[in-house]
Amino acid sequence: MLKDLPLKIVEYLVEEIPPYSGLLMIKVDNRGVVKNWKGNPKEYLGGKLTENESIEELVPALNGICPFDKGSVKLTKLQLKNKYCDIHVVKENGHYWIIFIDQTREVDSLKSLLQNMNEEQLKGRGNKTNSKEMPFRHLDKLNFATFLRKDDGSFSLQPNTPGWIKKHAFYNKASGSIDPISTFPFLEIFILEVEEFWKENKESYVVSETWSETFAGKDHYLRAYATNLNNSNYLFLKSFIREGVEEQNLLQAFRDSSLAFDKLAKTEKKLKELLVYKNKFNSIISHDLRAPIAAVLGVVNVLTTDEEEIGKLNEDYQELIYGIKDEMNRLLDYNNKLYHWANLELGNFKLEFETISLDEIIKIATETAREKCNEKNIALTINVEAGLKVRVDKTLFLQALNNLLSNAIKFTPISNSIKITAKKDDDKAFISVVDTGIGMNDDMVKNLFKESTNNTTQGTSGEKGTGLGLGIIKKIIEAHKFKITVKSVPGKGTVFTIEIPESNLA
Amino acid sequence: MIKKKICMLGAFAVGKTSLVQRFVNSIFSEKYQTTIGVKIDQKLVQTGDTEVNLMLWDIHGEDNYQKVKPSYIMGASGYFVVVDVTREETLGVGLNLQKMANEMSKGAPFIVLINKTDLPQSEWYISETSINELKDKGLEIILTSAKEGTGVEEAFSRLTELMINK
Repeated sequence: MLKDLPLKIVEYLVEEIPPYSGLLMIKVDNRGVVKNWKGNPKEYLGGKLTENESIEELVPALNGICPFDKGSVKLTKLQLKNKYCDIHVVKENGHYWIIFIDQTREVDSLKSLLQNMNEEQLKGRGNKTNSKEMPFRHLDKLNFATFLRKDDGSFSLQPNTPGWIKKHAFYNKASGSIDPISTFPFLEIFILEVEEFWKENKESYVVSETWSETFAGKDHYLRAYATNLNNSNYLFLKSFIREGVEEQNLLQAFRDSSLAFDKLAKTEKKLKELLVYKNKFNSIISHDLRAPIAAVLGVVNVLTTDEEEIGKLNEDYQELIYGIKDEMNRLLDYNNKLYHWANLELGNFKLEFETISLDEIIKIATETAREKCNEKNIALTINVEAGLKVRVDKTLFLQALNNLLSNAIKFTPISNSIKITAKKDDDKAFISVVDTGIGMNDDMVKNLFKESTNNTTQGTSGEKGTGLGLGIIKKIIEAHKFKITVKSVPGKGTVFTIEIPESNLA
Repeated sequence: MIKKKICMLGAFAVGKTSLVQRFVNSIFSEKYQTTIGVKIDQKLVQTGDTEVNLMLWDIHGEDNYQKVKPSYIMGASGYFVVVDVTREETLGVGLNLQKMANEMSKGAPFIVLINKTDLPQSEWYISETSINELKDKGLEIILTSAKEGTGVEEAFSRLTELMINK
């Protein structure tokens, strides 16, 4: 229940509402309209809760308190349909959380105490001697052991002793006494504060922090209280096993989460370090591979462009040489993409913006793509609104367009068509690459930009991919703070659209 | 017989309760059990001819949800600042608590315990360099493992000695 709550509310719960008991929390706006809730409304309000209901109608006790902007609200021991509750209203980020804190158990125990006291008063009307001699005689019902401080500084345990203290090994059954200070070392320090308080003879009380002791086979959470009444000094000890355990469980849950979060954060840090290492490794290797690949390609190009030389080889060898050329070009492309990918991941680039006409940059991109289009007999049409100028990093943006076009060609069957359009609409520019290819289903679209080389699919003519192309596009578009969207229909085609904001239009 | 109060201070889940349980009852539990308030244990130890009753105040860990109250430290003759070697931030929390404890205990002796040293060194976030830097600043440091018992007896004996000789 607590894990989705805002931190401010969690802190409020821990600070203001220990020990933890049952909770219902309803989020409302400042007019008291229900927006959200945590916990079981039926248990507290006796019925279902629906969004946009008025909290005043649900909880008449809150009538007249809404709107809440008058400040924080705390109501105590209100009888709701099924429970007694304290109600706190806490403001958080423009909304209000109404926290219903179950006090039924406390009210029930107080009820019996008040009942006893009232009955006693009714029976002994006119005789107040007893209540003066033993003013706290009913507190045992709330698990309090009461001690009266004697003139010599020792403490006498008052009658009506709760069961828990009688179980302590230091309790003297014969005399019905126990010395609180030597029994509970915690009190050695607290009593110094209490002595000061008693000296001041104030009509108030002091409360210790919580401490725990193990006796009679049980962990007891204890708290001490001190007050004075009719010139007598009293010390009280209260054991609250259940509330203590609940408070411990709540804190335990928070701390377990915190430890798990720390572990995750450390793992994430390590993984990031490993990723940087991997990218550096890729960047270095792909950079160093460029020269030998280019050298081999150079030799192959010399061979294939020199008709006299290539003519000396028989057909099988010629095919082999052309095969080597294709594979080396693919290897170079793959290696270049790996190099760009690694450097984009490492952030080893700085955008150098320049103003360029969209017409010009699209023209450059389509010139590169034209050869591949011709190989598959794909008709490539361009429709760019005249006069559109954008501020981009020309090299990187061109790379993104090249990758988009390569991708479109790869997945468009032979003799189909691809269209690239650019237009201004509502102060933004949109570049779309529209293919009539195989398209994708929703799942594929959803995972399209995920950084995984497992998502590679062969093209319509068996073209192989690196799985890096779309990732590179995404990195470049994000670096420009542009947006890219995809629409696709299986069997019909795909549209990739780059949205360029007004700030990058010239 | 002399009675001495020792406080266990530190961030949450650094192993304060485990160190006390290891020292007093020679037991260790893998399960993390958060401490509410303070739990007091006692142990009689012999230092030379002197018998000392150590009152061990195992104080709840400090974090955003529970702050250590200075009154817990009142009357302490010595204290441990416990740090989890695998959680760097626990050192800062421990050293802050030490400042408060130093004021409340009027300069009582203390030892910094770098706990959980049974865990592989690859998980240590407090490096030997940091430990040496702390030593250079004059802090007394003992590496401990409540799980294996390493350094635990030594730590309590040493603090008892420091308290007696103060």
